[in-house]
Amino acid sequence: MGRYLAQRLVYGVLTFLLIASFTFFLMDLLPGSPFQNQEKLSPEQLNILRDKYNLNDPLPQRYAAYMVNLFQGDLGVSFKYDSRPVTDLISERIGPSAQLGVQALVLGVLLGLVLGVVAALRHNTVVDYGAMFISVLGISVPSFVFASLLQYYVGVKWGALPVAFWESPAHTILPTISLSLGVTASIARFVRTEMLEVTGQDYVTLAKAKGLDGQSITWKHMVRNALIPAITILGPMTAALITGTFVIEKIFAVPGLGELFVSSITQNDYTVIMGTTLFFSAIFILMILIVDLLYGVVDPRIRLGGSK
Amino acid sequence: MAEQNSNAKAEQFDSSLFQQVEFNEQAGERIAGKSLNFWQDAWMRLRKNKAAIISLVLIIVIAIMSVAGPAISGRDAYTQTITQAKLPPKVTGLEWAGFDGMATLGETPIDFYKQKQVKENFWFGTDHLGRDLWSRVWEGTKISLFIGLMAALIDVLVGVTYGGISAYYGGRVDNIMQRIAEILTGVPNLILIILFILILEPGITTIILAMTITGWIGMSRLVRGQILKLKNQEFVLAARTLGASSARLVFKHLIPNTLGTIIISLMFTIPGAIFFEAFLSFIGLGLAPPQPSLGTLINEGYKELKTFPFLLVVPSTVLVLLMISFNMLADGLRDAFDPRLRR
Repeated sequence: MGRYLAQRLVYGVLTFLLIASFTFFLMDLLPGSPFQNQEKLSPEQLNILRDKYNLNDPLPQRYAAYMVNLFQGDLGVSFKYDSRPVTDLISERIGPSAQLGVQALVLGVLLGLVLGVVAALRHNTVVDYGAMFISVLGISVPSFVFASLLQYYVGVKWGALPVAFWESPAHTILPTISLSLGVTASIARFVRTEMLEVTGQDYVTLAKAKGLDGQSITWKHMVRNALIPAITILGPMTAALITGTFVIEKIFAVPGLGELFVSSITQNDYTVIMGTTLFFSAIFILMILIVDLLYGVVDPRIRLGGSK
Repeated sequence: MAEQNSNAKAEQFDSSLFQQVEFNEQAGERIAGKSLNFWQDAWMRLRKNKAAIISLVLIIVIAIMSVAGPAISGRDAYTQTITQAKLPPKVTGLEWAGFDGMATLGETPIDFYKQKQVKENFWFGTDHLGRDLWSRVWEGTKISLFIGLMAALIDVLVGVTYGGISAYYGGRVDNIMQRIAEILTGVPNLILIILFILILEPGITTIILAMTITGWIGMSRLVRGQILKLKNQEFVLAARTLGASSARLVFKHLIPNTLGTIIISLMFTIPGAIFFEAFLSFIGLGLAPPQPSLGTLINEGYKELKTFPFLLVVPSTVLVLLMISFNMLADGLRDAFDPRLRR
């Protein structure tokens, strides 16, 4: 276990460094300039600006400086937001994104769990078909389409909930529902499949034979075992949630990380693009690591890193 | 007592009256059913899945419309006619279903066709530059389908080659190739895709390339797993003993046996790629105007959502129908190719 953990950590760090270097050189190839009204600036002014951000240094030197700073937790300063440190920008925007992500995850997992379990228990009935139709719909309807329609019909036409911004708990409802759609759908499908798999197992038959009531069999014996493989989709789920925040935060004007990332792209704010990219990558790498470790802990049948 | 009695009775019959039934080995081996090959077998099972067949028909209809659609309305997808801008959908005979050319500005519904003195009907309406939405939606569908199909095919090509080589040669080759793939999976692909699109010129080729950079890994994993399982089976051993070359083993024996897995994965990749294109277009990283795709149309529609919801609803409906159909068909194919997985 210890050796496996060490090996995985090394891979994780290696991946991160690779992404950092790769992104850095990509940024250098990026067309356009981070300075607004570049045409109006004289060459001298432009030179002063470039000097200020060390953009005139040779590439290897800048790369070395960036990597050294990265290890000290310094992601440089933004070109747009009055030279504010990127780490500050990220830390002040992480709150809304984290809240949105966690709320959507909790809602999606709970809803998906109920749908999946009910569908499996009523296998091949109208309930099952209905639940699966909802789940196919959830996978097929892109979150931004769903979010736009929710915003228009619930927010604008009906006026029941705030249309945009991030001020009160009521403001978080529509973005959370929009983001959780995909989570609900994939969890429901997954749980249903696993529940059906578990139904035929001997320990379920044994529990029935010993006279356990249906509720206990379902929740204590079936759901618990069906949920173990569900851990594996937490990795892709994180990626999907991050993807989702890009559009959901744009649509609902949530001051979060996804919005920061998308706007930094349109503004050529190199350091912010790099900073957010590395931040998202770190979360993703960490999540995959946690999922793999958790899987071994929860299901002892899986031997991590042992002999094959 | 009774036993002896019956024995005695049996002896009364002459044994020549009886004929011994010979066991006919040939007849025992006869196969009554028609022999089906891989495709016939899968088709037989797929045919029974109503949802999958409806999806297949829908995909075919949408694909045909994406080619023939602009010709049906007779209008070009790119011609701008400012005097006919922002007309809501209008179809004669379908007025009751909302295709009445009316839109609500402020409080009162207004007939935009009367107001702008337009005699002809636009089935899906027109956009802010007066381009026919019907033609644009089908043109956009064609581009989205093309992107999805190409991205999926490239994924398959690279993934099958990579996974096949990795599994077939095994040992150190496999080890190195898998470590590389492992590092690549650690990269959040969306961010990589966005960075690639930023550097290269925005366009169809860029989007396809960007999506395939990490897209093939999933496919290579599946193929590797399948081939690892197959390569030690008896029929491969037999072929090897008979002197089949590596290439023949891979292309004649191993890959055809993983075909089911490949096709299922391909079918799931297509809607994924279509979704990704739409997603990129929605955050402003997709195709450059005036080229339409379902994503750019939805993005344009979103900007006008408050006054002209049809601009968002029409392309979204086509996109969602396409996504549902591909997902359902892929589900059906999975059941058809691998009945063990059927639920």
